[in-house]
Amino acid sequence: MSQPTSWIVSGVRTPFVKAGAVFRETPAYELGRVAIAELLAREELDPARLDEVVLGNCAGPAEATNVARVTALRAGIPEPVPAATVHRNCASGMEAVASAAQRIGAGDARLVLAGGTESMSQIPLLYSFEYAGWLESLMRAKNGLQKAAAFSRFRPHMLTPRIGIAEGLTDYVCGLNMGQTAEVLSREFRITRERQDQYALMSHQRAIAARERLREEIVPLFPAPKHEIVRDDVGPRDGQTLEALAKLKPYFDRKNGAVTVGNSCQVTDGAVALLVADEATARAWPAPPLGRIRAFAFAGLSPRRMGLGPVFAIAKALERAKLSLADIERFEINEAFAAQVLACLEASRSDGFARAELSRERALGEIPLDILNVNGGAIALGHPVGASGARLLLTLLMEMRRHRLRLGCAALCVGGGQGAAFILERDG
Amino acid sequence: MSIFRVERQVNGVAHLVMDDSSRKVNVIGEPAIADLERAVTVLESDTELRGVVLMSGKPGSFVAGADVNGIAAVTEREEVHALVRRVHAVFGRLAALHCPTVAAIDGICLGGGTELALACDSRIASEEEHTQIGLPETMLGIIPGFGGTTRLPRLVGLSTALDLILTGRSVDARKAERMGLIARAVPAAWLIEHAHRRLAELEKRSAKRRRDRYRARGFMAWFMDVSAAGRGLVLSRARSMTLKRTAGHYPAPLAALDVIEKGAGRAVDQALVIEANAVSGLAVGPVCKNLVRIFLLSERAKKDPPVAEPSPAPAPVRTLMIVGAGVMGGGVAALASRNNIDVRLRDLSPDSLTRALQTVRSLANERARKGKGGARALDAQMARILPGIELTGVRRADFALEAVVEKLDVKRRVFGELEVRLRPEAVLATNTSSLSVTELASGLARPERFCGFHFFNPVHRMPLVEVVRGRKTSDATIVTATRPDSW
Ligand SMILES: NC(=O)c1ccc[n+]([C@@H]2O[C@H](COP(=O)([O-])OP(=O)(O)OC[C@H]3O[C@@H](n4cnc5c(N)ncnc54)[C@H](O)[C@@H]3O)[C@@H](O)[C@H]2O)c1
Repeated sequence: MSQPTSWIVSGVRTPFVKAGAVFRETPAYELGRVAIAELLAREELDPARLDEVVLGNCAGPAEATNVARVTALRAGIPEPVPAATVHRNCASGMEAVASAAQRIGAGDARLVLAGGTESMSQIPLLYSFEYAGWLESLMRAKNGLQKAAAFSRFRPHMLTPRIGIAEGLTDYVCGLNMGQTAEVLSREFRITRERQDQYALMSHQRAIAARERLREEIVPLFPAPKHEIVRDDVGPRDGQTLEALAKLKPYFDRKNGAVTVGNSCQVTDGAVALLVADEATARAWPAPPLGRIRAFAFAGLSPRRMGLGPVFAIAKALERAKLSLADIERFEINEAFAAQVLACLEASRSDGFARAELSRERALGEIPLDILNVNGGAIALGHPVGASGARLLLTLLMEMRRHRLRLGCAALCVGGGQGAAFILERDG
Repeated sequence: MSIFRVERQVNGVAHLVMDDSSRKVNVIGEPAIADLERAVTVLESDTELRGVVLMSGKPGSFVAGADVNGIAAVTEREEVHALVRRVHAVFGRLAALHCPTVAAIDGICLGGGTELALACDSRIASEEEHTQIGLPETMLGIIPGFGGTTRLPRLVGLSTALDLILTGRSVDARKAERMGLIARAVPAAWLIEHAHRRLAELEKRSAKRRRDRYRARGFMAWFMDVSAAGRGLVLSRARSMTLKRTAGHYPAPLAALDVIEKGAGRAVDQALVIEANAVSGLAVGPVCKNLVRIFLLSERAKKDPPVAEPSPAPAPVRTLMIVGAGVMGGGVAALASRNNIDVRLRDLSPDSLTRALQTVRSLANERARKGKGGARALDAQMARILPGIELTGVRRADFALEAVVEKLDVKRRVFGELEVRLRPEAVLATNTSSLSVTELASGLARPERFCGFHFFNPVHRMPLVEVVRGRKTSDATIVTATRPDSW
């Protein structure tokens, strides 16, 4: 299947901030507003030129159900420009760019603002259905007797809230939460706690070393209520050590587990905005475009092993791009969990895995650590679920531009048992 | 020339339509009164009439108030008194009409307009934002003298009446409904239908109970508005607060308090005599004359072309770039964002931006607390500002205002940076207090689009901006700076 060429001409993102911290009072549509408005400002672009806005978002704020539309209007994008929110769990930001590329490929659009925005701080607690039902019966009660009867049916346990974020991070079909799926992989691929912690430490060290570089893709925010500037991601820890990581208790399987909050991604708030253009628009862009989309693919697998999603998706995307893994000069694989990334590396170098699961004769190939997530990953930077997919594309393109590289690959695992991968290309 | 039309409807109701074809908005002056006398005679003679709806023939505008030019011109107390009594008489005839009367208000309804509506048995108004009902007379140094000071407390109670008359503030239909000033806030699209429905409701009441009147709800309301002790307390508190606020320089609010106090408990006719005496004295006094003069000057400033005719059309200003987010830049950002203008706010110092945003928030919060807007309006206003430390987003700006430190070389550098990025038709302006606009313009590639745009501190308190023309400033620039069609 040939995919028509779409370009990612430019992009920016907000700093990524641990949920519950300085972005606590900043909703997804405000994070997104700043990312979009700053991108338009940086490009000095007349927003009326946009054909559509597509944003990834997972938590779906109740007060802004089509959060892309709310965000777009607040960012000063004119009313006639339509906007859609897309949801493919952790790959929502990639889904947005894929949608943009498909619209462009179909000739429906020339310039699309795509990205993602997520406030995990603002995922609410929910009332149970039982409580809602009780409230309804109370409201329908007409006289004192009926009211008294309704009251007598009340049970305190009805008030126990459902925790939105916990339910969101649990797969409905297999019943495992995301951390538990990482435990599954850590056992299947025999990835020790030490390797996981070492990987996590590397993510922090790389992110700290990349501070200045990352600033090139970050626009500052002045979040309410204090309005003090936030310039950098807050996740990376300068003083992170193996000892400190080793002290953490396994979080998802307290007795026998290896996955801790230290070797998992952080629950995070953030937004990303990219401009996706057709060939003619990109060629006429006043500044050199960041790069183009060579191919992308989404793949499905067992929800219990969702962490292996990147391997399946990368295989599919490489095939579409008619490339092999060895052609890729930089990788970004989202670090949902250290165990999960390391499992992907194992799976991708295994002939057995290739034959059993990818219908390939030979292994996909080696993904060398020194060209993977060179500026740190979600373990240090954080993982605002609806935005991360777009962040990987942006970070990868910036890195490719920095080193004048031609081919890069960005991939994520997706809760629910999917993978997503993009192959990006530059003229070097 | 007719100002009031009587349009008889098939259902036995007459529409009394005010539509002064010689003016853009309706005002109450001698000609309007003379014509109303004629129209009321027509209504009085129509014994079959089931009801009257008073409305405006101007779409989206009811009655702007009394004729302020008329107030400015009179010098004789007797002349004022005669006119006021004539108005009292004709409004009284309208109030005493044999059938129910309802005012249907859509759009601005101020001063004499509100007093005309108060003469009706009941009022309804459109809930549209443009509908604002109030009695701003005390701001012009007089009191509501066409029956307003007398009739309002009888309709809304003492404390609400004092609030409206002493502050001169106007309210939208929903607030007016809550206050009891109107019977119902309704969509403008169904205003007339609702007016007819209201007439039908009034028709069912006995003639004596037809007029809407104040009924205290709850003990507190009864105490403050009805009981003698409470009323005394309310009046003396209002008096001392007024004295504190005006420092005794403005006689009108005190006179209003006096008239309300003395008129209470009397028949309307007797109370109107007191009202007429008070307003006649105030209208020829020096305070009123000065306030009216300021009002007329600022109205004229809004209308008069700032440049020789034919004047170029002002360009819309939807996006404002502000460079320098200090005291002034922050203040202008608050003002502009409140008026629906998108603001790109740029400063080299993040701390300045922080302070500016905090200022905007606290001003917006204050407004929200006063019931203007609420949380959503505050959020929308904050979202109109994009603070930044980079000089980007310039091309979208229709107007760029420099408010950096008062140093010639710094300002010149800022203009240079802005000029290469701005669209050629955008205005470039300086907030300088002391530097010469012509001098600042030298070195600019397009001095014609440059002007001084000097706000005063604090911006939100000083509704004044001085537009300074440099030697090369073009007419188009001046027109846009003085009269952008969307500030
Ligand atoms: N304060 C007043 O009462 C008042 C009244 C009217 C006019 N003005 C005029 O307004 C202007 C600003 O006065 P202010 O009181 O707001 O000053 P201020 O010192 O409060 O603010 C100046 C701001 O400009 C910023 N700045 C300096 N150089 C800059 C640059 N190159 N780019 C971007 N930002 C830069 C500074 O960081 C600071 O935040 C002056 O020209 C002043 O004469 C002031």
